Amino acid sequence: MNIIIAGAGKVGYAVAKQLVAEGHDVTIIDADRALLDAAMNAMDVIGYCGNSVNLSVLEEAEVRNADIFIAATSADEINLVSCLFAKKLGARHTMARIRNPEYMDRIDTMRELMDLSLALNPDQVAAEEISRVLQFPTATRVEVFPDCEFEIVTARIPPDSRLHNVTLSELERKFGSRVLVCAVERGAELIIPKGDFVLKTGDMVTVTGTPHNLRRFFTSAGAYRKPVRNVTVLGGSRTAVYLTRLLENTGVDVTIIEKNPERAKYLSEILRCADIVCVDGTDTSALQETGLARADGFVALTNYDEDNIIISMYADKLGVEKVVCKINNERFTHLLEGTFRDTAVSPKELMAQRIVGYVRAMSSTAGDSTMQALFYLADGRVVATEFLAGASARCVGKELRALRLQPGVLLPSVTRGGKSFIPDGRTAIQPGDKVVVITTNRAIRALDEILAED
Amino acid sequence: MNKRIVGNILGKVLLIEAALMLLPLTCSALYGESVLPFLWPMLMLCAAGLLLTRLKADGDLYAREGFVCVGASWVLMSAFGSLPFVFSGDIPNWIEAFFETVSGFTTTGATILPAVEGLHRGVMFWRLFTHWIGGMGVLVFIMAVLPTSGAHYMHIMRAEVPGPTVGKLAPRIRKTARILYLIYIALTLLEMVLLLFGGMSFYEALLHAFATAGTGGFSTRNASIAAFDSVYIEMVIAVFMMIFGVNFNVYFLLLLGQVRSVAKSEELRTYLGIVAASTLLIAANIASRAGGFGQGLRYAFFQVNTIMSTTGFGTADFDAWPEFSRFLLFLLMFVGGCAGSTAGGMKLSRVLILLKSWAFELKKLVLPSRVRRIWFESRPVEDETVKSVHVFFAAYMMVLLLCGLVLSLDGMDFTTNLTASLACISNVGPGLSAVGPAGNYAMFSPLSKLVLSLEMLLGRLEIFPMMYLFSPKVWMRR
Repeated sequence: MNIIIAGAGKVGYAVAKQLVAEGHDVTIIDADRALLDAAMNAMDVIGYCGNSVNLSVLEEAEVRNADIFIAATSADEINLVSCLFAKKLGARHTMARIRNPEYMDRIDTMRELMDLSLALNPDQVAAEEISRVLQFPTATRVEVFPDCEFEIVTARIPPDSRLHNVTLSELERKFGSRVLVCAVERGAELIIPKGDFVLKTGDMVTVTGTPHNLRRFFTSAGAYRKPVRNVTVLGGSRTAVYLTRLLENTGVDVTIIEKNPERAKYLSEILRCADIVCVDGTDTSALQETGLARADGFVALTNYDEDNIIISMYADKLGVEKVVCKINNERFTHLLEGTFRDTAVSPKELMAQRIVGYVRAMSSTAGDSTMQALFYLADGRVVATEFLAGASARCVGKELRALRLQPGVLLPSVTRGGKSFIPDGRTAIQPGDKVVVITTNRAIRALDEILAED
Repeated sequence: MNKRIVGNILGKVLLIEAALMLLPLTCSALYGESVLPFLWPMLMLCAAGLLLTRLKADGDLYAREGFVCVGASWVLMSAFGSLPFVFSGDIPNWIEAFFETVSGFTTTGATILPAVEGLHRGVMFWRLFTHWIGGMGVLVFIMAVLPTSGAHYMHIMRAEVPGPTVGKLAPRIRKTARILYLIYIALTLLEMVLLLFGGMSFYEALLHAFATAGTGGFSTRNASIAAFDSVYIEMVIAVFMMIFGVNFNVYFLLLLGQVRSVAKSEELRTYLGIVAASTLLIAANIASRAGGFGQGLRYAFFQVNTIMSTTGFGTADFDAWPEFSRFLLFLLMFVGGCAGSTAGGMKLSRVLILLKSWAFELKKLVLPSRVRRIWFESRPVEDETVKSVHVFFAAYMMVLLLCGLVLSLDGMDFTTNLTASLACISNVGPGLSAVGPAGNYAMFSPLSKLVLSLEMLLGRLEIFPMMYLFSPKVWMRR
């Protein structure tokens, strides 16, 4: 597809990189020549220097031939206006990054008025991700497929776990949990395990199943932890506001630590239940005073990676069970091997993943099996895709054991009539089924790509 | 430096060259000549190519690797490409064969052969076909046909396609390269058909179309285009030389129907303006000796285009023309064609930016507080681009003069040395005096021939890739 991205910042760059790798023709517009050059030197894209609201620039970038126009600059208004222009000039779909909470309140109306296909808020995306991790503290990551009971959870097997030296085929018999282990990261190695795979402590496992079965699995692993009840949030950013609202809905107590009195006052006006404490988060005695040691969750959301990392380490040391740390510049996070490296959240990376997922869903109607959702797991090395099976797909209507599947492809879940189950060899995919497909290192665009080529 | 990826790409280049030799081989076979002069080099190319492509092309390709790739591939291609001349016995001396091949690939058209009509048909085909291959560049061809996944191939494109800035026509390099080659092939075929209408044989029409498309200048006849003695053929070739001297982006825009933006192109307008003005001036200058203004126009138009597009075909011995005409043509040799064309020279856009920056500096001297940018093609030029144009100009002059100094060892006159050096770095072919349209490069010493070969490569690749290839840093282990 022909895709134009306005804004070569971190989100735009990450989105472009992924889309080029997936075979799309990508054009980038940015007013900053240096950013543009960097992007053009590193990727097979064409760049146009200029303001994406400028009609001449849009025309030069041939927006009329664009299938998707993605506005990912840092300014909401530029994003909105350029999307509007792009749409009027002939772009088929438009997506905008919208950040201002004032706009977010009426975002659905706005989407309709502007004819936007997607409006994404980086703060909200981050808040949703963090809240999911807090609800399931065992996991470093939780993904939910739409209209499907299954979740995909990534977590580390703790030391002294009963799962140590257990082969996968024994899992159900020994522990009674019907889950599927999709991927295992052991050190730097990534494995798509078969039935004879033996789990070890320290493995980072990606598991799918119903929430109930997942809980049983992780309880038996000795890794299950109850949802967080009492969260301390450092930094009263926009993400903090969205996160607080999400958490309050599920009855979690939230304490926000905000240094700036003005901001703290503002937060107290828009958030009803949360405790707002106006102290400097880098002051340890002040942190103690807020009752950080009693909290079972800590989220660091300041604008400074260094502060976030250091204070997260401190909270971890105090014995807070679940620590989540926001990191803007994720290039060095691999140096942070440790507890909360597992739950470092990068809003920009999340945004890029969401946008790419949406683009894929739009571009994949091949064989009339529509893609519903797509997630990158294990640092992007594992891809989970959900398809709505169409009647004309070649793999539909036959028992799975009769099909020759590509090596390294897993089908962890099929949802039929609102019920999800793990398919076995006798399962035949039927039209209308929602099928989740797990692959390594490459994303597939059509359901039939799971079949081995003849 | 990532030597493996460079080796891998060089291997591909050699395999492509082997494949391209199939055409002259077929030609030899059709005319009942021995195919061995092509068969042996093809086997050697395949062996070397297969060996090199076994290297894993992993890792990244940066500007440095791009430069080395382009520089080394042109040297290797020329070295292997000279073998058919040697094996067929047409040019037994290897250095002379190398000179002739470099002259072919770089689309210079400077020859060491006093008479070409005795060559084998297949060898002649190869000689003119090298122009066509070199015109657009083999690496661009590779990008057009092979599935290249790497994003960094832009560095190669930048090193091989001439001009101060290289832009893409489409988001994908591969598509850009394809568009360029499609335009190239279409125009070549069109010219061939038009030449057939002029009564040329298929063989000669095809070969002359090759030589014009690459703006090369080799001909199948001793007397070049004058041998056909046809106004129609002269005009077709003159017009096509002009066409191939124009930036190919122009044709892409025309295909898209953007006539207005083409009409606004500053480089194109200047190019056509210079051609028109020079033609008129020279026609007036030579009218008396050519037998009237009309005949003068005919010869002037052809000669101006052959020099401006750096082709080097001849219909008249312009060396015998009055000093004014000679000097004007000498100046056109510097300028060359437009950026992004198959022509050589400094490129018109560079010359324009140079002139503008001089005017700009002058105004700045008078009014130092003035804040302004240099504008070209209705947009401000990046300071980096202006700087690179200045550096390029200095390097061009330096190479031109230093190589002229080496040539002077052979004892030829000043005009010969200077114009030989200029005609080679600008990829024109014929110069003035002893290397004029009536002369050739045979009398130079082997050293001079190697220097001139180097100069042609420097000129075709716009100096820096070749210069980098020979800098000791590249070859030192780090």
